[in-house]
Amino acid sequence: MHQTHSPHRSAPWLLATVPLIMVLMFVVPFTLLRNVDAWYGSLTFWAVATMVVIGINVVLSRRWED
Amino acid sequence: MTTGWIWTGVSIYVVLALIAAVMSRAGRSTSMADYFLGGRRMGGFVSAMSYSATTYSAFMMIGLAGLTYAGGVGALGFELLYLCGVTLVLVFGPRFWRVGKAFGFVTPTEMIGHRYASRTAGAVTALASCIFLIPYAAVQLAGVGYLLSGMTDGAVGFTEGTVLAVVLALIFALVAGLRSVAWTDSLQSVVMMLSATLVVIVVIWQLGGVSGFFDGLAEQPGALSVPGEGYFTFSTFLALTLPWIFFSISNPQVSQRLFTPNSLKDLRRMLIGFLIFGFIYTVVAVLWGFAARLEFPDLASSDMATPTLLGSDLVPAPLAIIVMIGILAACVSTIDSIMLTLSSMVTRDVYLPLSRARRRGADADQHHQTSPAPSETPNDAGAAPQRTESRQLMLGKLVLPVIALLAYGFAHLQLDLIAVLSVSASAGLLVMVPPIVGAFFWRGGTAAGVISSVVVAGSLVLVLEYTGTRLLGQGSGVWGLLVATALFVGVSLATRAPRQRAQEFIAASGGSSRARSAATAAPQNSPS
Repeated sequence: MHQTHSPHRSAPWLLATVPLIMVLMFVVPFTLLRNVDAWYGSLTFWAVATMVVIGINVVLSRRWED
Repeated sequence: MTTGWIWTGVSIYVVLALIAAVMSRAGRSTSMADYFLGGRRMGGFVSAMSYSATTYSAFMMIGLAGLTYAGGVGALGFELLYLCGVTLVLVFGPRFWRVGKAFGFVTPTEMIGHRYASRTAGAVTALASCIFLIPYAAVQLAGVGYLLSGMTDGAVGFTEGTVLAVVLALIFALVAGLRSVAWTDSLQSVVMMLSATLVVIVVIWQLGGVSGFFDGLAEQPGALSVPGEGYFTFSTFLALTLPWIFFSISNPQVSQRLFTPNSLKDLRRMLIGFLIFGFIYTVVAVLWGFAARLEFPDLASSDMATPTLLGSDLVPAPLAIIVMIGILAACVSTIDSIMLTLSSMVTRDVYLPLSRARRRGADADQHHQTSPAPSETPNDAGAAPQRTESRQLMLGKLVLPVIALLAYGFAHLQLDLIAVLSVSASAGLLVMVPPIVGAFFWRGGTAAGVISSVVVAGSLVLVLEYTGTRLLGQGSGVWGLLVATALFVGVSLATRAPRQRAQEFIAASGGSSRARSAATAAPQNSPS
C-alpha cells in the first residue's frame, strides 16, 4: 500500500542543493549584489533561485505514490 | 469607493462562501478525524488552495506589501526564502501522512505526545501552540480592520472589520469543520489570485508599463538592493526569515494539513500547487508594495500601503472591491484554520488526557477493580467508543468561540507593523522544530527534552519579544531555536528514551512493511 520511494534516498544530492541554494539566497544579495540597485540584481536572483527550488520539488516528489 | 458598494460586495462574498461551505458537507461528522481532517480524504487541488489560503492572508497583501513599502526588495527575499523552506514538506510530508494514517493522529501535538510516550509532552506543545498562535490569529483580524477602515477612509471602522472576520470564521469552521474551511478557502484563493494579479497589471500599466515602473524604482536608491536604505540589515533579514523557513513544520495549522490528503499523490498536488501559487502571489504582493511606494511615498504607516492603493484612482473600483473581499476572505480563512487546529489540540491533547486521568482517579477511589484499565496510548482514541468521540467533537466545537474571542481581544491592541507581530508568533513556534525533527530522525529524543526545550526556549522568546531585546543583535527566533535545540539534545541525552516507541514510529514513517506491522501492533505493546 505505501511502497514509496523516499525522495532523499533516491536523489540525496539534489535534495542537498536546496539548503545550499537557500544559503546563497542569504549571502549573495548582501555581498555580490549589494550595490546592484536594479531589477536584474537581487530581485532576479531570488526569483530564479526560487524557481530552481520549485523545480527540484517537482522532480523529487514525482515518485510519491500509494 | 463608497461604503455601500463595499457592503454589497461583502454580502455577495458571504452568500457565495456560505453556499460553498454548506455544499462541502458530507453528512454529519461524528468523529474528530472526520471534522478536523476532512476524514483524511481531501483532494489535491482543494488541499493546495486551502493550504495557500491558510498560509497567505492579511500578512501577504497587507504585511508583505507594507514591508516592501518600508524596506524595498528585501521583502521579496524574505518571503521567497519562506517558500523555499516549504521544501521541508518534501522530507516531512510523507512521514507525517504515513504516521497520521497508521496511528490515527488528529493533531501534530498528539503525534509528539505519542512519539515521546508522554501525554504531558503533547499537552505542553499544544498549550505553547495556543500561546503563540492566538496572537497570530489576531494579526489576521487586525489585517481586516486595517483593510476596511483604510479603504473606506474610516467609514467602516476597525472594530466592525474585526467583528465581521471573527463571526465569518466561526460560521465557516462550524458548518462542516475542515471541509467547509477548505472549500471556502479554495473559492477565495482563486478569486484572490486572479484579481490581485489583474490589479498589479493594471497599476503597472498606469505607472508607465514595466520599464516605467522599474525606472521609477531606480530613482529611489536602495529600493532594489539589500540592505538598501538600511531597513533590511542582515540580522533583521535573518530574524524575519528564520521562523518562516520552518513554518511548514513548526506551525500546527499547516502541519496538521499533512494528515489530510487522500493519498500521497494528493499530498504532492498540494505541495506543488502551493509552491506555484505562493511564488506568483509573493511576486504580486511585492510589486503591489512597490507600486504603493512609487505613488504614495509619504504614508504614516506602511500597513496602509495596500488599503491606500486599493482606495486610489489607480485601481478601478469594482476590481478593488473584489480584491478587498479576497483579502478579507483570506484573513478569515487563516483565522478559521487556526481556530480549528487549536480547538482540536485543546480537546485532543489537553482535555482528553485530563479527563482520563480524572476518570482513572475516580475509578481508583471507587475500587473498580473489575473494569478494564483505560488505555495508555494517546492514539487509542480512534478505538474509543463512539460516545467519547462525539463528546470530544462537541467540546471541540465549544472551544472554537473561546479561541475566537481571545484573538479578537489581541487584535484590538492594534500594534503597528503587522508583519513584525506575525513573525514574533512564528518565532515562538520555532521551538517546536527540534522535537519534530527528532521525532522522525533521532531515536534518542525524550519527553523531558521536548518539555524543557519548549517551555524554556518558548519563555525566552516571550521575554525577548516582550522586552524588545535583541541579544547580540539577533532576533528572538534565532535564540529560541538555538536554545531549544541545545536543551532538546542535552536533556534527551541525560534521560531515558522510549526506544521501542521510537523504533515503531520511525519505521511507520518510512512506509516499510515492518512499519505496517509495527503500527498495527503499537496500541497494544507501546509503553506510555
